[in-house]
Amino acid sequence: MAVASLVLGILSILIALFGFGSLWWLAPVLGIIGIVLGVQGKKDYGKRGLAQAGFVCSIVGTVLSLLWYVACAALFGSLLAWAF
Amino acid sequence: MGLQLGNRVIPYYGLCMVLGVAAASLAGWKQAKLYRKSFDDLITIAGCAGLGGILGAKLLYLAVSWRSIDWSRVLSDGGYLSALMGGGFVFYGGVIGAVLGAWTGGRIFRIVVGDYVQLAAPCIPLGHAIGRLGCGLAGCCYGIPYSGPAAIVYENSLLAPAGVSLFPVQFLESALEFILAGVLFFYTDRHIERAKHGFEIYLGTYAVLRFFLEYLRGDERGIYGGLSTSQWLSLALLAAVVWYTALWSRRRGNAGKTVKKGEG
Repeated sequence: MAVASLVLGILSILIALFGFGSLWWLAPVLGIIGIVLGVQGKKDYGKRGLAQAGFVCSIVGTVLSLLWYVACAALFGSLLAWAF
Repeated sequence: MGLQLGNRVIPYYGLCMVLGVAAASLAGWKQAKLYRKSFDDLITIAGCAGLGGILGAKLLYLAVSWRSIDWSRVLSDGGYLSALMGGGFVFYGGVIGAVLGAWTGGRIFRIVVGDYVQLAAPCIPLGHAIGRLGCGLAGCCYGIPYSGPAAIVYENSLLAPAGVSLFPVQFLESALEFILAGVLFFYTDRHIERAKHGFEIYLGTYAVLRFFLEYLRGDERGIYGGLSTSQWLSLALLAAVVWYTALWSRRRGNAGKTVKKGEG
């Protein structure tokens, strides 16, 4: 769980920062899964440090990815016009 | 539309969403400490609820606006898929998804979800109230045309009509949710018995508020049988809360009778 959390956390940061084309919406999903796995991973005392790192990276990735949302129940046509 | 930081603009909506999640998390930490529960387990349940919420909000959005989506472009056009997945969430879909997500998380990680959902109840309207401020600043979820006190006119919004005087429904909803959060914090503070009903009170009150606020919304609502999708969901949610509360009261009454018989 600790390793998975760290991998997901780093991936969410990279996707949030660089977008990777059409995948940017995946960043908060990966970040939240990373947070959950990081918290649960901390229960394994031997991998506590790794889980802590995964937890922090996942929080950073989630925050960075959520920051770029422009609206909620958006009218899709308007967003599409803005995106292109 | 956003906060200028150097040559980057952070959208107000995203900023308010992050601030809302941060405020709700901080309040959740305080609540976990107050009721002597594990904050790690609270984060786990909140994370699972968040995942379920994103999925539910997105699925309901896709269901409501499926006619306006060009499904033939979804798999062939990456930009189209990106805009489709990144923009458009329906709060009520999020609520239903969050409940299912929290329940599933509890089963997977063997956590008693009920305790955490109840203690986190006041944190939900707090986070939502701050998020709704983002809607008001971004111009989404806008109100009906109105020219009375506190009317808003958007000039550069992606979603609200430019130059039209509108009812500030997002700010009204935000204010009502701040009040609801305050009342729930005050009502449940250090009262374990009262805190057991926090989530039902939140859901029931929000359903009623949202039902009436829908009449003040001017954006596309998806009307069926004279009511919007959110109004139908409000009625369903209210019915579920009333049914659950009646069931709980009856069970409690039966348990009380059993104890009295045992005493006699």
